[in-house]
Amino acid sequence: MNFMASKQPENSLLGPESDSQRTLYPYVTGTSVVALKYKDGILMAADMGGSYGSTLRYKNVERMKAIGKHSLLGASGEISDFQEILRYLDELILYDNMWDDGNSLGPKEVHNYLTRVMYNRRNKFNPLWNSLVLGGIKNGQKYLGTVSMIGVNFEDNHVATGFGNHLARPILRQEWHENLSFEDGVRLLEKCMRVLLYRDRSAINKLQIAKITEEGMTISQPYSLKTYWEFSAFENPTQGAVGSW
Amino acid sequence: MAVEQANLCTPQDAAVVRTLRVFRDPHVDRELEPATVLIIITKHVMSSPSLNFQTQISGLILSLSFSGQRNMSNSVIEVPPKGGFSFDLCKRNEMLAKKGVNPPSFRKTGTTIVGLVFQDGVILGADTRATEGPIVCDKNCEKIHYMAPNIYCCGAGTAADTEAVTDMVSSQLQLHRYHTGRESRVVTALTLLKRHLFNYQGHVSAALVLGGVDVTGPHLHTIYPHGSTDTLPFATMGSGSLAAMAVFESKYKEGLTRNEGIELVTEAICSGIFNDLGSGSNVDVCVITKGGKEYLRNHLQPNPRTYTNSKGYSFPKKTEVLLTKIIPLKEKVEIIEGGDAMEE
Repeated sequence: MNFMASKQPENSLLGPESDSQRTLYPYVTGTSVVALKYKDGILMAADMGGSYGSTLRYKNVERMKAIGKHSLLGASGEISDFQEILRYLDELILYDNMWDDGNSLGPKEVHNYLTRVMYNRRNKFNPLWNSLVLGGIKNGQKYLGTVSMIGVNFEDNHVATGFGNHLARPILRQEWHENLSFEDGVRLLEKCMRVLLYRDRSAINKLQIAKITEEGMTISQPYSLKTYWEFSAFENPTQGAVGSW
Repeated sequence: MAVEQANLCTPQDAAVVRTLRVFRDPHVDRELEPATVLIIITKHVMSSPSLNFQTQISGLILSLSFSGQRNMSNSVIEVPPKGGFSFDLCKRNEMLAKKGVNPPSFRKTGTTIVGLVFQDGVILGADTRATEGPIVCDKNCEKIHYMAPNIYCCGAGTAADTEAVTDMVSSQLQLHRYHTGRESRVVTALTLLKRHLFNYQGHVSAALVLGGVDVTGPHLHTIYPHGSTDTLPFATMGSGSLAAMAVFESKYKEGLTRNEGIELVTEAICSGIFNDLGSGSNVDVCVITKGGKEYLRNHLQPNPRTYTNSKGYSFPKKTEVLLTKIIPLKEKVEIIEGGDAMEE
């Protein structure tokens, strides 16, 4: 009986192609991205941390990038795969510009392209280890969608990746409404990012908020949220229960 | 001597051991000599024609352990060498699981439970859905358990475990109350629970939110299945704990009044109910203050049945009733006046 742990159960069909080229586990990861539709377009927030396992290795990672004139892409998961996706999209936009026909790829098209890429990579057992958020506005039509690393995609009024799904989505479901103003949208996003900062261990207090409207994309300078740690009840919680913790 | 520890594999081996036991006369204060045992066994082996028996007997001999000491051991029953929880069946379960035979899924309370300390006391909240794998087995169960008149406990995890452990500690607390003549304290319940859970090393899958008000003030604790505890001003547990915590982290403030507290707790539980698949149905709330407790069962019912026929359901008449006759039962028992039946 062969007791040696074989690392290639699923690769047996693929012959001599070794796993040196496939992403088996993510190494440098970004945590959640949260985005919502507001009156003039899309607002998206992500922090700037790149964790290497349990160490916070990189604190200046921009996880949101503009794609063409109309879209904004945010990613969580493996940073190197995100950079690869940006290269694919660069090529896509370049070819689109070379047509020079006055038409440009909108967010719906880019989202579809990303879905196809992610799903095909997953079928080859070589996934791009990311959860992507794609938002944009073209001809007055707002669009916000998400693609996961296995190719699950959908569009909604507010989306989040990773921990954001568990902590931010409930808040957004309760408090989001149509035609949020810019200030209200930012306030809501900050509320979500604050809860994530409190309760997600890989989150850092240095975030950027990006907005995309008909005029174009702007991304804020990195800033930090105000947090409150001074609740008196937390100061000496075991006062009445001596001996416990 | 450890004759009893022989590894019994066949009835023939049992016969050998029985013979040996007969030889060990209980009235004689002496143990069987190892030599005597060997002679008996050899005799059995020689008299038996089957080869099978011989190989099994050799196995039997190998597993007989002869201790040099001569101590009086009257016990024939097999006891584990150390006391406490025996994990023997865990190996067998692992082996079965590898072969694809999985144990039945537990009835869990995939749950949202929360606790909150406010100005004058503690508010506990819970949803009311109990699940068995993917099926909802109880749409309106009670997850806030009584521990003492001033202490209540919400339970998440395996339903049987939470029920049993809270029941047990509740009884222990009552005995303690009789013994001391005082109101129970929350730390007492906390220590009893965490000692029990740690003892079982996480196998008793009960995650609890314990809250109460005693002479030292209002207290709120969380207890994890492995036995660790936290003392917090607000806490959530269960599968819906992240959704509920999101609400707490964004809306908690100091100096909450009773109604504000109940509203916040209800909102947190609703967040769990609507965003977590393991939680659902109604919201239960329990407010404990120095004056007393208020158990608001089904305080909020945000999931009523939407389409109900106002006329109800009329079952079609199948068989016709021809005759209705009521015959009262004849009394066969004579009631004796006075005297206690138990008195002898």
